[in-house]
Amino acid sequence: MKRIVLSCLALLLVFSMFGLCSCQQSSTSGKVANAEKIADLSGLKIAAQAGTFHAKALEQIDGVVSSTYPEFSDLLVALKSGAIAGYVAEEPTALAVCLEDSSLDYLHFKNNDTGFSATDAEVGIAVAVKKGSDLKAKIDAVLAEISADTRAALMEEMVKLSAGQTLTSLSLSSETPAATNGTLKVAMECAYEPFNWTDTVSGGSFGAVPISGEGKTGLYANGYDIQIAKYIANKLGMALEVYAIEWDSLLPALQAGTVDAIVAGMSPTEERAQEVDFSNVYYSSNLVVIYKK
Amino acid sequence: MYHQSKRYFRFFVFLFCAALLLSALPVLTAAAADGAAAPAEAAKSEPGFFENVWKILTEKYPLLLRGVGQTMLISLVGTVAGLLIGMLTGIIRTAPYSKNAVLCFFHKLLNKIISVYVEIFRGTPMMVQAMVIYWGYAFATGGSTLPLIPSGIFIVSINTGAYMAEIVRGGIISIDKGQFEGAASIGMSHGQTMLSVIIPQVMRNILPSVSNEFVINIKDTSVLNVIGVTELYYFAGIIKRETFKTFETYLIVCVIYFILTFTVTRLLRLAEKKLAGKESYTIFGSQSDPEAEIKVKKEEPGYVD
Repeated sequence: MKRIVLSCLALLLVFSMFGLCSCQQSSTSGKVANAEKIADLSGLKIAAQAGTFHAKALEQIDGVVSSTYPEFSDLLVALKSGAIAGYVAEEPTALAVCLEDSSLDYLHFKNNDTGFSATDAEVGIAVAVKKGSDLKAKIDAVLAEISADTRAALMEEMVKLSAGQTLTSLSLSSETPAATNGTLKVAMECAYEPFNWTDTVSGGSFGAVPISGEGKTGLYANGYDIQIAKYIANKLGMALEVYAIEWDSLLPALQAGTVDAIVAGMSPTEERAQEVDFSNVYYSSNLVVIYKK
Repeated sequence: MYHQSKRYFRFFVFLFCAALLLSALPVLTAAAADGAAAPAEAAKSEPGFFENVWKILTEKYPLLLRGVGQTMLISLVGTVAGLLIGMLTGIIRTAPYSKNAVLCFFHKLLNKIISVYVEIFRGTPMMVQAMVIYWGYAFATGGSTLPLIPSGIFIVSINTGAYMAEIVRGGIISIDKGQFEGAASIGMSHGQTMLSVIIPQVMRNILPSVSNEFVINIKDTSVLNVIGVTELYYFAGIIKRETFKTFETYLIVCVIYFILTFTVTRLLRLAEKKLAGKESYTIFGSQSDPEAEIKVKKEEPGYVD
């Protein structure tokens, strides 16, 4: 009796493993590549990062088989393994990813036209500060100094940098003040190229900032958010400290007062605006879908 | 009876290994085909599976080693501290109530508090405890956070302590009543009995459970990455995000975890053997030898491997 049960169990194991291996072979890439508007993606498996506006935007595609993953890098792995047909991302991310990996491409959707319907608050990104903080006005004043052209140029540079190219100067630069009054503690994921990412090579990529916190020596953060945060800190005459915190813990960290601001490519959505205050938008882009060629 | 169950066990292990090998075959052959096809195609084609693994190992080993260090530090200190908590609570909970009414009341109160502690920390996931303690402290103090490694050790310690409390309690009640009676008959107090008669035997008996806890802790420290503790799993995440080689990265980390746990279990097994003394006798009720109650004398000296 025991023997029969055990052998059945083992056989089941063998079959389930074979089953797992074979169920990855569904080719949908042709259908994605020819999509011209989001309605063309109907019925496909499309994913987005959990807890973002992207995950909500997915529901705008009729009949989509949506799934969410906790981290941005997981989406790319899911796409490459064939588990999903594509995933929703912001245009800069798509540019960076496709520059790095020639087997990937993205659909050039335009928000509120061929692409997802979204308000400025939903696709723009802003700096979050504690409710009622006087930092909001100060940060807005600094952000106003950065022209739209500079923002676009800086993002282009960050896309190149995250794809492994080397740069020697950036469009947005500022002098580190000789004497600082106070520190500006800034939180971000350090896992969302090209907005913020982690470098492990000593010194980091050009313009990188060391990550603060116990046990984080030798880790550097860089990206669009870092350059913006650095600019803000320099203009306010404060020393910048960058903390790498998980996406879901960003708001608690700000509310508890562990950090002074979140500069993490975070959109100032209504729900979040009830919890924290947002500065003006410092970048805004189209939502696109990345797919495998 | 014993030999039969061993044969079934071996049969099952064989089938399991065969199933594992069979299921891994497609992946391995695909990887090998990748590697073989690479030079034939253009040079820009993707590197093979083994090349990726080698690249991650040679380029990222400082990070992996740092992760191993932190993981071992947290799990080792956590297990030892947990054992101390377990000892303390175990001794308190098994002590007889005092005749003094006030002392008796406090002892009962303490027992209740210990049961609440055990039930809460044994009944909630460590990951959730980590989030609650770390961010709870931050909210309570208006933004200051606990230092990461000590708070990691703290979380693992109290979690392990809850399990150890039960393990030690079980160890103490498993000691034969005759030992208590014998100690009492030569005029030892309860404290003396505990310290010089019972605890040494308990220590030896619960060693397998302690090594079990240690192994669990090595693996479970990985959940501490939610609060940013830089243990092995945290660095695996960083490497994954940098290289986008998820399978390769986690396979390496998987092997590292296995080496750590396997080494620890072997070392503690050695310690057990040393504590067990000569092969010719076994202590009655020993947990390290489940057959000790039935077989007073061993016929097969080497079968507890």
